[in-house]
Amino acid sequence: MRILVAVDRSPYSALAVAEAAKLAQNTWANVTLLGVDPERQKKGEKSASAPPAGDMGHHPLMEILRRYRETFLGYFKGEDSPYTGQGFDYEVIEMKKGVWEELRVCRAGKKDLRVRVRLGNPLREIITESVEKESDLIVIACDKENRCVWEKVGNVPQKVASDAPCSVMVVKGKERINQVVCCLDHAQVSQASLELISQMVTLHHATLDIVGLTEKENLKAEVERKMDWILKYYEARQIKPWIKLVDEYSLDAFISQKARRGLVALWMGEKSVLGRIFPRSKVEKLVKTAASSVLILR
Amino acid sequence: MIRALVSLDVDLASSIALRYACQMAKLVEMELQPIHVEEPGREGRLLGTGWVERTWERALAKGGLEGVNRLIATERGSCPAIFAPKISVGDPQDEILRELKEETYDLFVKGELYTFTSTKFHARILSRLFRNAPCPVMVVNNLVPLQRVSLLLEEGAEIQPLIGTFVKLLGTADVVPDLLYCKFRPSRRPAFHRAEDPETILRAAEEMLSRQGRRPGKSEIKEEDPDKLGDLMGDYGLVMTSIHHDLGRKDPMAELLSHTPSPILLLFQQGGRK
Repeated sequence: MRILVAVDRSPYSALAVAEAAKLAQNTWANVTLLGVDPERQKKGEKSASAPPAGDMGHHPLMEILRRYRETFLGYFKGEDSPYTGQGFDYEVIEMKKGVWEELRVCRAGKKDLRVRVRLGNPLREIITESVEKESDLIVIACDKENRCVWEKVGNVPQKVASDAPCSVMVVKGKERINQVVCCLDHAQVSQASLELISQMVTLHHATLDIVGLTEKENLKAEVERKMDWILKYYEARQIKPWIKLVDEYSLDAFISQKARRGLVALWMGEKSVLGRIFPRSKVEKLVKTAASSVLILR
Repeated sequence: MIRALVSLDVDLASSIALRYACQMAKLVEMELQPIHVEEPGREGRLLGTGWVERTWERALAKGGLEGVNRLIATERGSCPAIFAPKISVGDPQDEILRELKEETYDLFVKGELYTFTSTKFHARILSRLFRNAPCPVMVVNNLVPLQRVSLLLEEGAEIQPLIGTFVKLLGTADVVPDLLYCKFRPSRRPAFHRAEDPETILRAAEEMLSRQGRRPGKSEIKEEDPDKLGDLMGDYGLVMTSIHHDLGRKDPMAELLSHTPSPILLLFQQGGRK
């Protein structure tokens, strides 16, 4: 699993780092902490002008990212951490057949933890990074008290949730998630997204609702079969999901109600009707108005 | 020995209902008799008479039997209480009612997925099948562990049959019964002239349980909106209540039940409200 944690300079970004660290504890994911600085982009420039490499080391965002890296690593204890390198040591290595040499080598951790800064338009840079790194999940936090925006640059979290090609989790607070509500209207559900939900439920000791979307109170046969399969999938993992049906005309009301108390997850597949009845603008509205965190599964 | 008739179709709701019934059969001595009814078509007419009709019926029944057998086969290994299914062709409500009346069953089990909007649920509990069933009806909407049972009491409801049914079906099972008296908010019912005090009703229910050697885990008055009370029922593996034949869609108990995500056991009171 590859997780991209997108942060800015504001304190709420620490929530995204904490959530990603908890997920990484269970999944041993490759993680990139990405800071995006929009300030150096001048008017009329398509991309930001790059400062000298030496300056970047003292860039305020880099300082913040270093702190976040320490915070992240703090979730892992010593030798159990898949991100800790083993340091320099001598190791006998076969150089060619019949020839060995003792070399001073440095072994990296089992998994990657990268810290990166990108300059430019935050939305574009986050999406580009997720595509280049083939991320499975973007974790991003926002200012819950201010309609889920990023300071100075506005509705970046909402746009990332609606535009990203992979799953996106928008973290909105420290409150414990006690219910995960997953909405499904199609039969193409990726294994990665099922596993992600399983992790969220386990991490937060939450209950799980699997919601089938009906049209005129009828559930499509393939969705029903998929729900049966998902039910058995989670039962085999000792998770007991609740099965619920919601008609498309009342989905809005249902989600608004659930978004007050739990994590709402929408399975937005390519063939998803959710994309029609819950279009991009509504995804953005959900991210903006939901009291709790939101997970868009792709 | 409890005899239960389990209505099966080849769908998710039936799969859940069968597995829930099997879970119950591990707690008490129980026989599960599956039944599947193939509907002849929307018009309700068969395509012919005589041997044509019989041949067509046999083909329909055979198709249904195969699907239901597949459903049963997945459970039978862990659930020996399941009998061979009965298959018939006709109107499901008529056929099931006929079976319930001809044979002696202690319970009728039907799978029904929980819906956010209550229309379908109301249509189901007000259906001819449910209201005329000669035994308690269990509506299974989710597969949850059967550890705690909620016995819902309300003003004017009969206590004795409810307690009696609990004792008969689950008296020997290792489950905890909670007695919950529902005072709905806002009150939309006219006050009954000789309404009994909720505390008195709860004490009477406790006594009835204790005479059968059972003690409630909780005995409480719950004063809340019906939908919120329904949400609270998610803590239970089974919700049991006694309802009236004249139950309307806007009755707060109907609203509560429509918001209940756990399986529900319904007892229909023969008379009106006391």
